[in-house]
Amino acid sequence: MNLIDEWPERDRPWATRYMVAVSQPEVSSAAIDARTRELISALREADTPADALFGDPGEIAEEDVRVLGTNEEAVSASEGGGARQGLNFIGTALTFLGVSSALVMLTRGVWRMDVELGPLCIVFGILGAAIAANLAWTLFVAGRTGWTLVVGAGGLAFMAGCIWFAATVGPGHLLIAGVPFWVLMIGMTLPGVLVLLVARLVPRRPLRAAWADDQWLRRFRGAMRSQGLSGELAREHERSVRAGIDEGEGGYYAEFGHPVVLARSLAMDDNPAAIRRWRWSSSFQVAVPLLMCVLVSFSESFGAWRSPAMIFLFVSGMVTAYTSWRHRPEVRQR
Amino acid sequence: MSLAGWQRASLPMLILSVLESQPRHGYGVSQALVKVGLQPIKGAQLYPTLVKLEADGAISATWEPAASGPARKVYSISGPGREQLATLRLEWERFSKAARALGV
Repeated sequence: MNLIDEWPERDRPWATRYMVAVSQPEVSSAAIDARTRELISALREADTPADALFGDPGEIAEEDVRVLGTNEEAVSASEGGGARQGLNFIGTALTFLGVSSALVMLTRGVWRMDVELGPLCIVFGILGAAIAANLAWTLFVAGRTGWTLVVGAGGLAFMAGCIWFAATVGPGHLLIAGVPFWVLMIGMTLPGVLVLLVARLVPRRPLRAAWADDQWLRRFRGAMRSQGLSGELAREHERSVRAGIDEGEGGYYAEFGHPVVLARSLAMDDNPAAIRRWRWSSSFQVAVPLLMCVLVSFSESFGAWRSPAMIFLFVSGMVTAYTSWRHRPEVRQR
Repeated sequence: MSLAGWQRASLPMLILSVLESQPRHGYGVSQALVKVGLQPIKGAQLYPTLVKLEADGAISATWEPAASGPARKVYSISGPGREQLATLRLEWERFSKAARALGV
């Protein structure tokens, strides 16, 4: 049964606003579930509307996130938290790419298409690069910087190889003539949907609990950088942690817990790291629609939809830039 | 709440109280807590709290060479840290008084 349905009818709008605000990556679904039941039970006892008893849903949710949220849950739910989360992230990105491409074909009114070897190679190159880019991001978030570089470089090399092969074979190598639109659409969306289905089959596992000391340190180092800490500060933390182990007993995991969780808890209180994370995420969110806008301006594929698509992408980029600027972290002097 | 839970919630105040008498390294802070009957505290909780107190200017840290082995990071309470400790003690006292009035 949906949790919202358990709320008294009159309080459901309040409950929806509360649930949206409290559903943050650092709060587990079990904690949200338990807290929601507490609120419902208090409401029934008091027999008073939720806004009169609890006040603003945003404020109470913010306080609950502060109390119930943990770094362990945030790391576990992140793209780098495990195979299931990583596959979900990659599958969502691929599905978005596939659906967008299908929509472009739809706007052009292409109902049948000849599939040639050269363009097909380029499509495979782009698909390979997209998978590699998303996989590299999940590895970066998990603090595996070495593998991030390997996968990123591998994706670029694969795409370059596909483009080179397409240029070598040249145009005119017809593979299949007159493929219907719906077949192409399935072909474009299938990789993403398949990855999402596989993700559903993979169980969500708890965070890894067995670490050799050198593995732990490597991952801690990588995670600190992926959380936005400066190189100098990361080295200082590593030195402190090493000294802490010399004073204490047992290995790094026994003393400091999961390396990515520790890195996150250090980065959350570091103002320059918060500013760096904000810069990375804002730049990406603004650059993507603007870059797409530029690509659409050079493309003939959109026909009459080119100008509306460009305006939509440009406005999206501007709105994202404005929203992001309004939510920028405050610069604090140490 | 368990003793560990109370200890976690009041960790900044406990650390500042330990450092008020003399500067200590991380393990020394944990040992001082154990000595008064509290539980040993792991680096996973202690270190981020020390880093936060240092970032807030409540404590300062210096590296000191050890007699044997690598250097150790030693933490000392600062002027603003003493003020913060006084405020935390006042709040703690107010809370304890109210709790005692309820018969806790």
